[in-house]
Amino acid sequence: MIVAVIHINVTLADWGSVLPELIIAGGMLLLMLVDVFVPGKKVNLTTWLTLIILALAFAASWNLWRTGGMASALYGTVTSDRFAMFFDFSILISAALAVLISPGYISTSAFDSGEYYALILGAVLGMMLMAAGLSLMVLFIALELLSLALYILSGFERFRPRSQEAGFKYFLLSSFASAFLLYGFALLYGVTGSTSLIKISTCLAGHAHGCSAAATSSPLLYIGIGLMLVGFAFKVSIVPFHMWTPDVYEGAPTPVTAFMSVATKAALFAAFIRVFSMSLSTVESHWYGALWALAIATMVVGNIAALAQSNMKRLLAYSGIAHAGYILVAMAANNALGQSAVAFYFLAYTFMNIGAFVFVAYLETTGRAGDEIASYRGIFYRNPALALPMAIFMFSLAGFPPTAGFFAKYVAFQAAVQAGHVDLVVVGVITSLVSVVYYLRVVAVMFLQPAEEAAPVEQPVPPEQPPAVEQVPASAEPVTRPQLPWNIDVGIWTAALGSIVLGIIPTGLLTYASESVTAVRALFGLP
Amino acid sequence: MLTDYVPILILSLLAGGFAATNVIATLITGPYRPTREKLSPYESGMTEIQPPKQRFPVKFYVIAMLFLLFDIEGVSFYPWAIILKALRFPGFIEMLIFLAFLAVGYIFIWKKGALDW
Repeated sequence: MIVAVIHINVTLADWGSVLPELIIAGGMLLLMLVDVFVPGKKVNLTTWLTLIILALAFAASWNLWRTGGMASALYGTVTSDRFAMFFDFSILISAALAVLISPGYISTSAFDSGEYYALILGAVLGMMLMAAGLSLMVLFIALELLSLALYILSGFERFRPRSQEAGFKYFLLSSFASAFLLYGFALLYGVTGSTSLIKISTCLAGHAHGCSAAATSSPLLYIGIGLMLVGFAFKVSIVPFHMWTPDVYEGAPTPVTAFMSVATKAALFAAFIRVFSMSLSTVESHWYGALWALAIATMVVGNIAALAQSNMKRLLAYSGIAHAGYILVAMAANNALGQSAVAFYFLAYTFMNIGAFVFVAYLETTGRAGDEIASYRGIFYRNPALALPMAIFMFSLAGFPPTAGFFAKYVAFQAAVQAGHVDLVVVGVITSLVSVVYYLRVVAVMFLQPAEEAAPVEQPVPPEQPPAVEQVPASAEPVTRPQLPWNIDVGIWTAALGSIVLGIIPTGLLTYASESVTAVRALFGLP
Repeated sequence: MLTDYVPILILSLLAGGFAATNVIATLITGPYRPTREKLSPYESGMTEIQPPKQRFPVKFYVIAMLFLLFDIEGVSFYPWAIILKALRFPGFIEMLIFLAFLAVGYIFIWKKGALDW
């Protein structure tokens, strides 16, 4: 028998370009082994290990950013261009912040810490691959990897029914959405004859041999784009595919909610841009209208529904939906500035949104109903080190000038104006004005209402919570200002610093964001 | 273009016909002596109708799921074994890496006690 030699054309440089992902994968295996071989609770050990692994991956990403990475590696299935690296930064920072607030949560709730960090790293791996994927197959596998880890993480508090409900709901709805996305991918493959995003774009631009000239007007392409849009819209919680978000965000353990509310969206938007704004850029007219309608619906519904929330985690869920709407505005602009705006937005969003969740997570570990806004009364007078950063996050999410949120929104809207979509910007500005109401209400509750009232009013709010009973004497003496645990301190001030610095000196990072977009546009032959 | 699908159509007809023939043939030729047990639907060795909020043993599901996982992963060794000579040494190394992943997963479930009945 004659054996034809198949040359596996993979060099060390190929592996080097997925080094951040490899570090995360190795770390995941290491944590699994530590979990089964090291006896005891070992929360400290696993937390530190996870942080070190994330830091190593960050260093590897930074190195790839510095050298520019490889445009396409491993047979053109993944890339390590600056666009992927920029999103990796957001993903890794949000994972690190979520890990930082996990130990307190693990030790105070019925939380089996074992596989927790391994699953977080699994989700990170999926997200990084999602941001780096250049092939529909890789995108789908990455999506499954991150979703499977997140399903389990949302239901991780096994003995709390709300957490179980969150995990199950997320699993059922999200796997349904994955099917939509996969069907869309299949049809796109059927029309263009390739799973490579770059080949798809050359096919639709009419430059490829063996690719039917009628591909751009094929009805299958329309259906495929529609199905993919539904899949992506569901995963990044865009109206009208957002119904799962508040329930899952409220039920899932707070560190997990913090992580998935930012990192999942960052990864999915990176892929969204790669598939729609890059690969399908020549058929923009096919999808622009749908994106326009989705953006308007998302901004309007997200902001108006958030007005009625009394639970902080639900409020942040609707605020996350609204922010997805602003990001869609930037994406709909479909120019280089809009894409850099999306990249920058996620970095800003990482700090301000996770910061708000750090606040909630800390209150929960102290035995309070940490997610009821009514229980924040006068928290400034009891714990200013907690209330001040929270106010920064709220101002930043609302988009007040010296913060990251303002600048991110400004660039997003500027891109849309540049592209001539003034209608989107008008809706965006009006709905952000609406959003000021609910963000500032939180600040008002913390700063303007007296702390003395806190104890008697708080009691009837969470009736079935045993720690609330012990808590009465504690809050009756508002002079004692509890010291924050160091990890909460680090987490909340890092996030606050990020939210401020990105707002005051955004130019450096904005240059980085536009460099990353230049890289990805060059990859797809766009100017 | 549609003519390309004719073989698929024939295959579907054959497959459907085969299934239908089997069902009809057993209905005609087989003896029919129903009992209560025989008529109850079969589902993984569980009683089929229960109030939903109840504890039930998950051993079967755990074992079945782990079996499926390792079974499917094991299947990928077959095509690899056939083209191993063509893949040469790099292909061998890549499979070893895959095997290491599997091994860690196996150690994990073993130590976690998922394999204890």
